Amino acid sequence: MTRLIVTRLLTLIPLMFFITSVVFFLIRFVPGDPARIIVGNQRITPENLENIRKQYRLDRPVLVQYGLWVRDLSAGNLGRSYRQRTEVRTLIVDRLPLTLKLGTFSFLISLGIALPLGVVAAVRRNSWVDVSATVFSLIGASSPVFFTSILLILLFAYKLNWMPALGAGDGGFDQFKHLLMPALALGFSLAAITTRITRQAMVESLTQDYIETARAKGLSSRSVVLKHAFRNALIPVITVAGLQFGFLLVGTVLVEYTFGLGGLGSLLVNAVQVRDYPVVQGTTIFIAAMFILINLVVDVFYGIVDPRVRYDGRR
Amino acid sequence: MTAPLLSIEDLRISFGTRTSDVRAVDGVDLEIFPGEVLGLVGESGSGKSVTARSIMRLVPMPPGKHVSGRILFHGDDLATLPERAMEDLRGSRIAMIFQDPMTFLNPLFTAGEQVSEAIRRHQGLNRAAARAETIRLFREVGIPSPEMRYAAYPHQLSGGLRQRVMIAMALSSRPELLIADEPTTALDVTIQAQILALLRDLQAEYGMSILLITHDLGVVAEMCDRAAVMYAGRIVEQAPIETLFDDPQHPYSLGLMNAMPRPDLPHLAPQPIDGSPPDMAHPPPGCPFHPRCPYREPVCAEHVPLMRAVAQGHGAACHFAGVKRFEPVASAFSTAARP
Repeated sequence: MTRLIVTRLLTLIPLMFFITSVVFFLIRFVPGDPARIIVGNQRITPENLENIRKQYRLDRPVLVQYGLWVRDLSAGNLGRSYRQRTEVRTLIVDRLPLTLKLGTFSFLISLGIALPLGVVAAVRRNSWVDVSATVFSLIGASSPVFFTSILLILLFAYKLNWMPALGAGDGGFDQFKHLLMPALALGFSLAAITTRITRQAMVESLTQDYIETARAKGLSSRSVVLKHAFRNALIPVITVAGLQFGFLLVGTVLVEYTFGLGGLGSLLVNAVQVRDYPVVQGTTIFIAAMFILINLVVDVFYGIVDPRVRYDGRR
Repeated sequence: MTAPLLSIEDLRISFGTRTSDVRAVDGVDLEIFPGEVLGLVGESGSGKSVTARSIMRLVPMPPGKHVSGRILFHGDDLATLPERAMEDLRGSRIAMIFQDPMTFLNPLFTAGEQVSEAIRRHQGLNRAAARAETIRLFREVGIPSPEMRYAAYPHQLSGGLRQRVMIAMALSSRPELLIADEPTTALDVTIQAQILALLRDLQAEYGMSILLITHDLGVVAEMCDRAAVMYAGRIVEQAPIETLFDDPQHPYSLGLMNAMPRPDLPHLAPQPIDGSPPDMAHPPPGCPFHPRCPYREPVCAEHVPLMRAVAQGHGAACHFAGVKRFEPVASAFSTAARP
């Protein structure tokens, strides 16, 4: 297991370097002069414009910019935002807690809905629970999150006035209240897929021979389903859930906009809009690293759940 | 005569499909006596596995399943016993071992955990005591270094060891009846012999009854006191083992014997039975075996033969049982030229 983790952490370095290099060049293909965007509509002399370019190294050839950026990066320096005149690292650190809270919250809501629903749907196949689960998944998968977000705002904030519609709140319970609706909107949409996967995996494992052995031992249906079948069904569920958690780091952007929250997703999207190259690059690096780490965690979980894929090579 | 441990009366199981009704078990009567080994023999699809599983009520529940008849065990009808009582019975008084010990063991739990789970379920032992008991059982069923094997996962064990784990699990509560569904089919020949020897020893030691389901008459000859031959969801012949082999009274039993390779009589090539078992959604009229039977007469296509006694403890469901002498001439069963 340790060997797996160390190898994975080592592969992280070239992988991240590759990803960020791609991003570095791609963002520069996007038309638009960052210096002009920084200045906006103000009148400016060509000399001053040139000064701005010089200040941000934008006057240098792209390959030189790339070399300088790689040098900074290896020193752990993500650079400064053109726009916000702040270190990119500070921007990320500022936005991260909200993203993590929202992500974890919606992730838990999603699993809280999907796992029980998927298990019950599989055990009572073709019953009304199963049909409702299918309908739920269909609606969940086909409603965009901004749509569900707006519905939630209309119902709970506007009509019933139970929930705040905008902002992230002031910590503690207030923040919980503010994050509840965005987390519901995201969790609902993620649960749609996880429910399907859980149901499918449970149906599969419930028809395996060892389930018959478990029943022949005299175990109750409850322990047959929850112990013997569910643990086997977890493997595909972990895969999907891991990908979803990674997605939540940036995929929350639509919900962030709808609810007026500032997370990593909106930081990245805004930076792309104003060609704030250092922010785009820094955020991408950070997200790529998180994604790889989540995958590592998923692999470790596989090993915990399934002895056949333990990595230490011990037999 | 002693009272039977288990008696099955007119068991019928059918599965409704969209187009037709498949009769998997079609009126089976069977008794198992204390301490005996009863073989249930038949081809794949003859209904022997479904019959055995229905004792434990483990037949899967697809829509349209119909069960009728009675399965009496110590005065309880297992067909109608409440599920909770059935759970208490499974694995304690009636236990089962299966064909493929790889797929029938849960890959995510160690061999020891799976056995001690059964012990804790029925004997209320704590974890440590159940572990000690599991290791004792492992030793008893001949698993070498049982402490080490306790922590092994199924994929780390050989086929023979896995089957020994299954046997340890089944015997953990000293059942009165052990149902063994093709317990050696998935194993190598040498391992097969070991497992059969182990089952025989344990049967003698524990005094339990065994219902041994197999398609292999060699296994029956080696293991059983009595045998019942199944064909197309019915029992076509039932007899003590020597009688069955010396004086078969149903043409199908004879056909099975002629189809058996005889290493002791190398000049007799095995003679397969022509044709294939009937489609149980549309069984033929009359005797289900008549389309394949070399001794058939017009009556066979019209009337279903009932089980008739030809001797004490020997019955056959053939119109000509005890009437015609079924010549044990292998060629009668096959048009294939003999060598």
